[in-house]
Amino acid sequence: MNKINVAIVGNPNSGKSTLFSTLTGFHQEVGNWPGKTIEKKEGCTCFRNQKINFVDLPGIYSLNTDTQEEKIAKKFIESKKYDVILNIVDASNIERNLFLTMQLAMYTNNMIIVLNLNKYAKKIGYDIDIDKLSNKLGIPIVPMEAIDDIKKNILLLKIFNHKKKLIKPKKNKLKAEEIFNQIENILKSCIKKKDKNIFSNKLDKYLTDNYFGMFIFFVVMFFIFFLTFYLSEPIVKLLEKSIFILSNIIGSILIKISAPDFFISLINNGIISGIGSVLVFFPSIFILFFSLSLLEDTGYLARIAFIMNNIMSKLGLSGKAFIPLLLGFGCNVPAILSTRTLSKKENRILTMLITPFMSCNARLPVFILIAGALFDKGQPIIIFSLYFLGILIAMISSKLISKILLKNSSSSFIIEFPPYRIPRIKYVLYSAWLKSKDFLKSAGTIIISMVLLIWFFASMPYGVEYASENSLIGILGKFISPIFRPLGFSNWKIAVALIFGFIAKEVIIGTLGTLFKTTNVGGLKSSMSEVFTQPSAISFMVFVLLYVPCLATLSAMKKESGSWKWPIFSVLFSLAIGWIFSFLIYNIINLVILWN
Amino acid sequence: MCDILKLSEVDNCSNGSSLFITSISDELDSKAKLESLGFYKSSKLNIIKNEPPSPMIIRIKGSIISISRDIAHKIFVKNE
Repeated sequence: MNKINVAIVGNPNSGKSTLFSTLTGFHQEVGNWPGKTIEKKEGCTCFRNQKINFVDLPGIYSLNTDTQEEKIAKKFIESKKYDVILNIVDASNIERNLFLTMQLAMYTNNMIIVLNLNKYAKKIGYDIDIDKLSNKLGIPIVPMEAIDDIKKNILLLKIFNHKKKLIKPKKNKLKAEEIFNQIENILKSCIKKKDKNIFSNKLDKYLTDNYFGMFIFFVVMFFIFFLTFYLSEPIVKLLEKSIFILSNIIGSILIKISAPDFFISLINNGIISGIGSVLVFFPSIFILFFSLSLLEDTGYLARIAFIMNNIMSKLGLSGKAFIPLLLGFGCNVPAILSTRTLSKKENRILTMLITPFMSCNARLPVFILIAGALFDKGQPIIIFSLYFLGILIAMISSKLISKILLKNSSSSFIIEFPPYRIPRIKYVLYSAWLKSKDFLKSAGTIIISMVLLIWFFASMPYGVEYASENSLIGILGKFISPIFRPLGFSNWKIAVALIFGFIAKEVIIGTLGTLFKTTNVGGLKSSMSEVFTQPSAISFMVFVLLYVPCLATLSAMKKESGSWKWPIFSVLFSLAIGWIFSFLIYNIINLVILWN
Repeated sequence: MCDILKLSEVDNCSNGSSLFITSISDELDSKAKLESLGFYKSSKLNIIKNEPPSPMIIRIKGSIISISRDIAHKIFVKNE
């Protein structure tokens, strides 16, 4: 059975991804274009016993400029690895959308236009004579709303019946002005436009207003964080409990069959713990990807970039960089992955480097534990100051790095404001699921490998008590701990917990529990109050705030920047900043106490 | 008024009236991207919002585009 290969091309915001989802249902694969960090989506469907493969090419405005997305699309189109191109065109924005269409027509005559958003176009006053337009362009047009599951069969039939043409069209490169003039001529006879008041524009008057816009923005953001924290926390707790129960069950089975202790430890502390460390990310990541998709689908995301541009430009970045930084407060991982939307490489890297200073959800339990153990009152203020310190350091680092290292980063921006739309929840959920799944697969392997590595260090030499003073990791902890003496906390167990925290910040508390041999919060709190003083508790929390991004974050950085160079720089940079600030704060506090 | 102005310096009473692009500086890295969005010589646009230091909001070719002021400095327009 021969396959039909179809490529979907279109502007961003034209409904391309929706069309792709409608055509492929839940048979989608997300990956990367070879050698690039741009997302590649493939899917398939069956129609009249014929398999049809779809590739969703990145959203582009033209085939002429130098962005990564356009290079990928152009390369794919020139490779002729397809039978048909579906060019999705937004009927409510038809004049600009046809620019890409005209360019595509210069490369291929195996093209079908899918005219989307007809209902909205009519609403804003467009009256398009589709047959006339199709004649003038010389390209077949299928009008359908991209979400229309029923009409899609008309499209599939057209694809099925398409006879591949081998004649190569002329490849004359035309200037933008010439192409737009041609479009104007064609549309003159095919479209009537009535002036109508557009709701989206009225809404923008308020949402992009300097003061009111900022206010609404804070409300939206607060709501997203509220959602992320209050939804993910119980789910994470449930996951942790289930993993605990599972490891107990497996442990007792293994004991019954007289499995060696070593093996039981490998299963529980190594494999199950490793899988747990990965799963524990899932709720936050999913909710954040969901929120991000939702903001994008409604069109509000572009307005956020607009509102925050003034502040971000003072840091050497554009408003678009604000979104990743904001997501970083939930989890640094989706934050790093969302830097994809920044067009300039220097901006992407700069944003990735300062994102880890946005204190993520996983650090919060550590702050709550330590602040709760050492301070009777004022804990919220202490924790809030930590967040604030992170932001401050991010701002200063951004200014410094943009002046010294990444001089080409800029606060220029060009962004399209799509019309506001009611979000399609099913589509947003599926999109979040795909993105989370993709991440878990790639970072998951790295995390589990590291957990196994650390398990090994904690279990050697053979027969030693797991993660005890005499294990390799205990020896390592004791070797490293002098580094922390100037910061006030040189207990080897703390050093080991910090090493484990490199994998995932969530792991710090569990490690402290294991090492201090307590299983409840009360016991852990009292152990902490014995190990720390108030000044050293603060310097410890500052260190945890700043020291290294977790492994999952570094893995995301490598994925988005294309090399390990930047994650390694990030580790060294944040280690240095963490140590220095921790040192300064510890000693300043002690001086102040001495003074009094 | 037939004077040629920088897009960023157009005053607010031009909101709603049409402007035509006379030229775009070659210094702009993003010139090609701007062209694909409809910014080219003789193209028509309307200003929706111009309140420094915020970016500008412009209607062009039926869509709404926001550009930062440094880019708007390098686009030249005239009234008609």
